[in-house]
Amino acid sequence: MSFFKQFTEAPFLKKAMYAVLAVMVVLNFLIYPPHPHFGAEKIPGFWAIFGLGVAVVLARLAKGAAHTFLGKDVDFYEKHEK
Amino acid sequence: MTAFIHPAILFAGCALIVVFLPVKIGRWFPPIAASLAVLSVLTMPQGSYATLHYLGMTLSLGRVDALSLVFAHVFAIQAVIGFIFAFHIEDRAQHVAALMYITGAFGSVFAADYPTLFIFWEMMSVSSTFLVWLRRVPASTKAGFRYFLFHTLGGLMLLAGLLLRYKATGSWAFDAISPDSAQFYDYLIMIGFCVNAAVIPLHAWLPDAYPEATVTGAVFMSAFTTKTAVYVLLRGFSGFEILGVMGTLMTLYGVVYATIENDARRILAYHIVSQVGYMVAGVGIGTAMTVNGACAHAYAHILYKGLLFMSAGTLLYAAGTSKLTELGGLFKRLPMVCFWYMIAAVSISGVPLFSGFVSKTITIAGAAEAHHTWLAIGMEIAAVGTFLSVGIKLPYFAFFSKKDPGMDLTPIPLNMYIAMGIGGFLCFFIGIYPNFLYRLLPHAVEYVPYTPWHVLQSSMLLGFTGLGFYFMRNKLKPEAKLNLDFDYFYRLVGRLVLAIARRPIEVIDLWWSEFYRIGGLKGMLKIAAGSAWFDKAAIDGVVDGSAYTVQKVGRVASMTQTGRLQDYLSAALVVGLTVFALIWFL
Repeated sequence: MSFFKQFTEAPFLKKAMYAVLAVMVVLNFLIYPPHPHFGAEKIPGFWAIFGLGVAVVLARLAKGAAHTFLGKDVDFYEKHEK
Repeated sequence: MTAFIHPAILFAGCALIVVFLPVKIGRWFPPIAASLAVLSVLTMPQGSYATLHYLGMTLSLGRVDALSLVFAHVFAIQAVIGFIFAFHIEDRAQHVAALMYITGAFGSVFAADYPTLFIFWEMMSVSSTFLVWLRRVPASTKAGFRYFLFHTLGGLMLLAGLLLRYKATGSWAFDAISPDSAQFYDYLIMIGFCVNAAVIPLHAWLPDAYPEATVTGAVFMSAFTTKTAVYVLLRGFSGFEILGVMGTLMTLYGVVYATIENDARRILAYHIVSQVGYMVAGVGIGTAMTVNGACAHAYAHILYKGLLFMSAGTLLYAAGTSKLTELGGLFKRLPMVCFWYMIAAVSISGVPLFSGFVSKTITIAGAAEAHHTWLAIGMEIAAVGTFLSVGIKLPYFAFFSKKDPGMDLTPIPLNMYIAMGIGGFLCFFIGIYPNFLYRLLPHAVEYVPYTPWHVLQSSMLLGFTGLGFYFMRNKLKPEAKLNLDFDYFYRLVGRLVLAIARRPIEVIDLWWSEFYRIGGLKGMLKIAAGSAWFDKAAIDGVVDGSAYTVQKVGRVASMTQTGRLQDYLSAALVVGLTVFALIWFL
C-alpha cells in the first residue's frame, strides 16, 4: 500500500480530515465577509459548496472533453505530417 | 550615468566571458553576474538614464520607475536562482543562451521607446528558442521551430504596429495608451504583446514548447517571456476592458487543460497560461488595486513557478520522464524534491502562509470591488482548478499513488537542491511577510491579506476542493494522450504553405529544370569543351596556385554555411548585437 493510501485510508486520519472541513463550515457561521461582493457569499458554507462543486464539475467536464474530442493518440501529429 | 548600471550590460558582458572561458570556469560567472544585477537593481535610483541619439531617433534604454523596478527586482532574484540551478551544466551554449535571454528581458523592462523595446524583445525570442533547441532531441527541434515562427509572427505585429504608430504620431515613446483613443496600430502592438503573454488563442506555443525545452531552460523561460509581456501590457494597455475578459478566460482555459494533461511540465505550462491570466485580467480592469495585484502576482508567480519547474525538471532529470502515467510513488526516493514541489504547489494554490495567498487575492478582490463580479467568480473557479491539478493531482500521481515503477534515478546535483531551497524560502517568506512585496508595488496598498475572513474563505475553498479530488480521484487518473489545442490550427497553416510550395512552385521548378536540361545544358557542354582545351593548354599553371587559395577560403566559408537555420539565427543575433553595441558606445 502506498504512503498516501495509508494516510488517507487510516480511519482516524480520515475522520480528522472530515472534522477539519466541518469545523471550517461551522466557523463560517461566526465569521462572515465584512464586504460581501455578491449576495450568495453571505450564505454560510457558500465557498465550501463552491469549492466542492467546481472541483467535481471541472473534473467531469474536462475529462469529458478529453474523452470526446480533445484526446488523441500520442503520435497524432506525426501520423498527420506524413 | 550615476549609480545606474544597466543589468543587461552585466548579463551580456557575462555571456561574452562565458563564450571564451572553459566551461568549468565560465559557469561560475552567471550566478555572480546575476548577484551583481540584484545589487544594481537594489541601489538604482529612479529616473531616466542611458539616452542616446541614433538616426534622428532618441532612444532611452534606462527608464527606472516603480513599475519597472518591481519586475527588475524579481527578474534579478530569479536569475540568481536559475543560474544556481543550471550550475552543473557543462554545455556552454546553454549558459550563453540563458544569459542573452535575460539580457533581453532586462532591456525590455527598462526600455522607454519602441525601437529599443523591439530589439530586446527579439533578442529574447531568438535566445529562448535556443533554450528549446539545446535539449538536442528531435521533438525539441520541431517544437523550437514552431515556437520561433510564432514569436516571429508576434514580433512582426509589434513592428508593424510601432512603425504605423510612428507614422501617425511622430513619436517612438512607449507610454500608456488610453483605451478611448486607441487606434488600430495600437491594437497591433497589443496583439504583438499578447502573443508573448500567451493570451488565448495565441497561447499554444507555450504548452507546446516549454515541456520540450531543457530542464534548466524551462526554469528561465517560465519566468521571463510571459512576465515581460505582462509588464509591457501594464505599461501600455492598462484599462483595456477586453484584456480583463481575455485574462479571466485564460485562467479558466489553463486549468481545464491542466486537469487532463499527463506530462508534468505541460501541466505546469498550462498553469502559466492560467496564472498569467490573473495578471492580464488585472491589467485589463486597470484600477490601482488590480494593477497592484498584477504586479504582486507577477512577482510571486515568477518565484513559485520557477520552483515548480525546478522540481518537475529535477523529477525529469532524475527519473528520465515527466509523464505522470510513467511516474508514481517516488516520495520515498525523492523526498526533498517532493517537499520543494509541495511548497511551490501550495504557493500557486493560494494557501494561507504562502506567496500566492497574498498576491492572487488582491486581483480577485480588486476585480470584485471594481464591480466585475463575474470576472472575480471566474478567477475563483480557476483557483479551485489550480489547487485541483497542480496542488493535488500532479503530486498525487507523481509522488504518492501507485507503486514506485523502480526506474534507476540519476543522482541530483547539490546545486539543484540549493536553488530549490532559495526559491522555496522566498515563497514562504513573502507569504508570512507580505510587506516585503507590497512596498515594492507602484500604488499604495490598502489590502490586508490576513483577516479572519480571507483566511477562512481560502481554507474552505481549498479544503473542499481537496474533498472534491478525493471523490473524483479515479476519474482524474492521467492518461497517455495528446490533447488538441490551438496549435492544431497553427500546424494547419503550416501544411497549407507546404501544399502551395508543393503544387504551383514545384511545377514551375520542374518546368524550369526541364528547359535548362534541354536548352541550357547542351550549349554549356559545348562551351565547356572549348574552354577545357584552352584551360589545359594555357591557364593551368597560372591558376593552380590561386585555386588552392580559393579552395582554402571556400572551406572556411563553407563551415559557416551549414544550411541550418539555428546557426544563421545565432550569427544574425551576434551581428545585430555588435552593431547595436557600436551604436551605443560610439
